[in-house]
Amino acid sequence: MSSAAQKMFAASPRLRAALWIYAISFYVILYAPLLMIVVLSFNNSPIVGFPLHGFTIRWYQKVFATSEFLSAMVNSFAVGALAAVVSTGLALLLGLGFRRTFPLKSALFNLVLMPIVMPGIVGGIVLLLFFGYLNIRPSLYTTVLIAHINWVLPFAFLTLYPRVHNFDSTLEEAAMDLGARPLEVFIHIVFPIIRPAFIATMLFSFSLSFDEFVRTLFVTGYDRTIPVMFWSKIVDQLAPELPAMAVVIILISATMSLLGALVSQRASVRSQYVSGE
Amino acid sequence: MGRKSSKPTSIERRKFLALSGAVAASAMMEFGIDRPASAAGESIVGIMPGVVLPKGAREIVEGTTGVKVENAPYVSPTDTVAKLLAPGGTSRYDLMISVTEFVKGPVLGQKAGDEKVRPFDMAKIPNATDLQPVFKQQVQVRAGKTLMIPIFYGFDSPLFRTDLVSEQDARTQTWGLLFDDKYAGKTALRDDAYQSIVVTALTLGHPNPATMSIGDLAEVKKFLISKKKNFRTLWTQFGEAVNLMSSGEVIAMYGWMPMRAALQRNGVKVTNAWPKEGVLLWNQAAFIPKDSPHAEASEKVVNAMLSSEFGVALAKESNYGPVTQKAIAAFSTDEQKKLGLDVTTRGAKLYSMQWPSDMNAWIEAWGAFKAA
Amino acid sequence: MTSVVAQTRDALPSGRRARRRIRWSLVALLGPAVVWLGIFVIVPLGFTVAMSFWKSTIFGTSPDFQFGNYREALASPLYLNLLLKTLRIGIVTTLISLALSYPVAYFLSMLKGKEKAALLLLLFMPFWTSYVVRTFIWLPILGRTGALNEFLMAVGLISEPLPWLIYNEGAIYLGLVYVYTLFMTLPIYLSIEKIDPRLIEAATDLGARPGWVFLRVILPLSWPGVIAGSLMVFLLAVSAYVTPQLLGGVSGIMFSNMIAAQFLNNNNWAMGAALSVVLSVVVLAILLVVGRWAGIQQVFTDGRTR
Repeated sequence: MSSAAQKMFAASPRLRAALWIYAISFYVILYAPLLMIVVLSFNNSPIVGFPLHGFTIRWYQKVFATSEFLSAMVNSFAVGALAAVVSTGLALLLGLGFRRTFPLKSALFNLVLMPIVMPGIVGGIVLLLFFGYLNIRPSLYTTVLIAHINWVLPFAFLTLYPRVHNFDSTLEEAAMDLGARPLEVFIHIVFPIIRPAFIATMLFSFSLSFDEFVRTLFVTGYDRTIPVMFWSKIVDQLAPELPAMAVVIILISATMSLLGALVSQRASVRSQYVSGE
Repeated sequence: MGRKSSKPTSIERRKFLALSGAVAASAMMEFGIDRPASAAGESIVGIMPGVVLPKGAREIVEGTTGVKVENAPYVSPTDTVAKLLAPGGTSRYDLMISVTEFVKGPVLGQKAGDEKVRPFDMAKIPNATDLQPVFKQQVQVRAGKTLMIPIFYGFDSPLFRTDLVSEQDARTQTWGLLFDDKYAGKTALRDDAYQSIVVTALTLGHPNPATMSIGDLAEVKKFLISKKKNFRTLWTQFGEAVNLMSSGEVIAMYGWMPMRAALQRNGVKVTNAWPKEGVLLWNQAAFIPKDSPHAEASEKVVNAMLSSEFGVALAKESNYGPVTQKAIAAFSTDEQKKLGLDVTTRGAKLYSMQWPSDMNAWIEAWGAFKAA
Repeated sequence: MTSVVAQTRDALPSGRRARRRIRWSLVALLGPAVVWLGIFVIVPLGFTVAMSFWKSTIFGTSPDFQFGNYREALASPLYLNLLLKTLRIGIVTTLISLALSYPVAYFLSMLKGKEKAALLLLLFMPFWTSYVVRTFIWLPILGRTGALNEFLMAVGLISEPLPWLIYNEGAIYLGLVYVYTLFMTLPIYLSIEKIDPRLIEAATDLGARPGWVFLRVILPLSWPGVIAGSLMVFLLAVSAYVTPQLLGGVSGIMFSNMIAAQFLNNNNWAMGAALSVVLSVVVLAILLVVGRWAGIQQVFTDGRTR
């Protein structure tokens, strides 16, 4: 956006200031529970909550000594990455297809939404029975991954499609008239324009998969994902190391996203440089 | 022109992600699919609550039997049953432990021949003779074959803060403590239709709530709704309940046996009441799915779990009760009192968990209470 | 040097050969997703519907066709009341979330470069605290002895802790809106982001006031994002059951809690399936009705508006 347009966009300086104040308050409230988690992670008490009993780092020590935590992290990251790639890919294809008219379009739309409408427990049990009939053993890259893609796909679609929706198709048609094949048109015209939304959707999809646990509980084998591991700890015991684990996870996820964002920014700067935008 | 600019971005990055994903996946395959191989000896696949095998108890079991126990994640009795009943479920797991009253219906089936479990070869389970009488009665037998054997027990009672509620207060002698207006706004029940309706019915004087009529149930519901404002909240998780008491948000609540130990160990002045209507006694039993490929190994494990060493370790680490007499006898009378192991011997009134005659109606009554 | 995009923008549009090439790839575009949905959504869905007609006893679920579950679900006033309450909470949550998230989305699109990337990332981070952790963190914050009460008392605003910060319907709204913020903010942000700034310039040049520009230019153009976000939040709020149970206190019950109870406290899967079907049907019906008015059709199901 040109700076003139940016100025227009934000209109008066009063509005800008108001928005800044609002946004800061919003973020502060958003982060209050996180702050609480950090505070509690240093609490020298096996009961998660107040009163505070003094400072300690032993929960963090326990976290790094727990091998199941590390393997659950790897599992969650692996499944999350795969689920993100597949779901966003499918969502993109669906989104591009949805630009046209075809019969039964609203039926397909409702079908895409079904995994969100169905409560998690039902979804989990039904998938469990479904996999049972097909004799598919519960494991990370079959049953769990499928359950995650099911869950993530509608969100990926709903997030990505509005961005694809109003895409100016005359650009594509023009490129095709110039002799470009559909794939080339996609790679060089369509994708660069929707790429930021695509990346945001991938990150969103990853987060959704990372956090999913109700359906996963029913279709999981031994390899636990992080939420499943957390849940099995708290359901009938105290789990004082949980806040510390949560903090570690946030830090790792944040670091990886930061790296991803840096890589993406460097790449897009280079490409802008080259194409002279 | 700009067309052939080397954009190392979109497609490459996607390919890279997919590739690294595949690499990671194949690396993980080592740990993932099917049964994890153990270094030496057998291994069995189990579903049981995490509290059954805390560290020391697990070492005892695996040490004496040479069998490694791999546990699939456990959520509730429901998912245990779901996994057993799902097609192929009876061969996928070797040992399950869950709340007897809840699972015995689907697990044993309606009539002989419907069982989803394999009978125990009791010759392989000599330790079973040591079961306390009250739990011997809970062994599930059909046509002379033993199908489910209790492994541990727990009891639920009103927990209260001794610094905020006097132990001399007569209210502490009954479940009515939780409904009393003196402590209005400071008590909590568990968000569980069965347990909450049972204790309400007990308070109202029903000797055996499980056999209540629909009319009785309606009365209980009416009473509960009238007392709705007395409760601060209804808890669902262990840690949540403990936190409610330790933070003082609540001063009396429906509580589990290990919660009291956890709170006391943390310096919170709390104890449990022995209501005259009875504390709720329940147990969890072990059973072997019908087509388990490692049934003998499972039997070894069950026998080890009925040993006194295991019982002592379980009581010390999980604060639940061992079902065998020798395990309890290993504790002094004082220790038994502290850990709640004397529940079967101190002469307190007990109410054993029993599946209600119409659970569907109970669930709806509880829902109506919450929605009122 | 002009970009590929700029070049093609200047070229002439349309041509029959191009259209034919575009048409066949519809199968390629929709195919994979349809296959996936067919296997992993339709079949399990069909299974759920079938199960809703079965009979569950304490011995398990058997495929004996019967309407009993539906008769119970539709006859008992409990379920109808819960359904209405759930829909109400769903709608209110969506509206609150929309009101709170739209300014943030607008704000984010105002920024540029590193500021924008940083704040966007910060929006994601609370989402990475596991959902499980989020369930027990509210009591130490909102309880009688919690941080907020302590703070208010320390500052002198109150002398006694406020008991109504938690364990009521307001707390449910707080919990739901909080956890679903990202679902509303992200799509709206993506929509606002791609609004052609020249449209805004043009409107302002023609003398339009900021309020008019917002109502007539920005809001309609960001509508697809608004719809997407609202859909997600509404659907999620309506099927919520952990948040209301945890934060709602004695009245913390929504429709999905009854569904969960059938599976977790009882073995009545058939009833649970029937209740799920009822919820799904009602929700989809609402989407149909409201959708027409809100333009969901235009955004998602009609053809391109251009």
